[in-house]
Amino acid sequence: MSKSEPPLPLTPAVFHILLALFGKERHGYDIMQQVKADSGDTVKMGPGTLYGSLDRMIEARLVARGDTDDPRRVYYRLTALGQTTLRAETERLSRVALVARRQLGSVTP
Amino acid sequence: MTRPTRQKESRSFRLYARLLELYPPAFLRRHRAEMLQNFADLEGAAGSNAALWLLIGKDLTMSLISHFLGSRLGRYVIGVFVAWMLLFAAGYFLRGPTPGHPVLHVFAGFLLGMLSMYIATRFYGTPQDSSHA
Repeated sequence: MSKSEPPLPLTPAVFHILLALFGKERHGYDIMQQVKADSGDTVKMGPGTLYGSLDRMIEARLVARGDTDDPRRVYYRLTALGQTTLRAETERLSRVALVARRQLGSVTP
Repeated sequence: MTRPTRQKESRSFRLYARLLELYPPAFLRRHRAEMLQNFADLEGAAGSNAALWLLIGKDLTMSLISHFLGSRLGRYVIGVFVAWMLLFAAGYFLRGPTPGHPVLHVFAGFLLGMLSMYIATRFYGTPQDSSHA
């Protein structure tokens, strides 16, 4: 895979972090709270998981660190590749959901 | 080290700060201050200490396993595990099942030893680090 192609499929943690960062820069605790809200409390992320994922996402150029003087509140933002990846994964999940709905609709319990 | 914006550090906070030492030094250099601040925020918002530590315990376990397996020591353990499994499979097919599975017991001992070494080097550093100190 070339570095400019979205790395699909994404793990749930990476997908939710990208979603939380869409349209807004956020710091770590804010990301955790947004992920919790977006997932309806099903994805609860702690600091270790969050920063491990963010490191891998920065390396994959999906996310970038913002400039900050306070090391306790570092802001993260989506890159162009991160936005493309989020859209591509959303499309992929929609197609999967469509197939699943069709299959489930065709089976009478 | 930059401390989070809190009036007084709780016992939970001090314990978490100590447990953070289990992460690789490079990771801590990048994120220690953020993680401590996040813990302080989580602690402030948590309904109880039990709920807080349930989340943190799971998070520490999963992320430390991920760091351990990604480290050179972790890859070494995986390599030894694969070698031991091949040895076990060869023994099983050539000599049949052995009561007590001694090969697996030896690996379990090795794994515990490696994990202890990983934890000890995180808390106390390596002999090379000590000689430079």
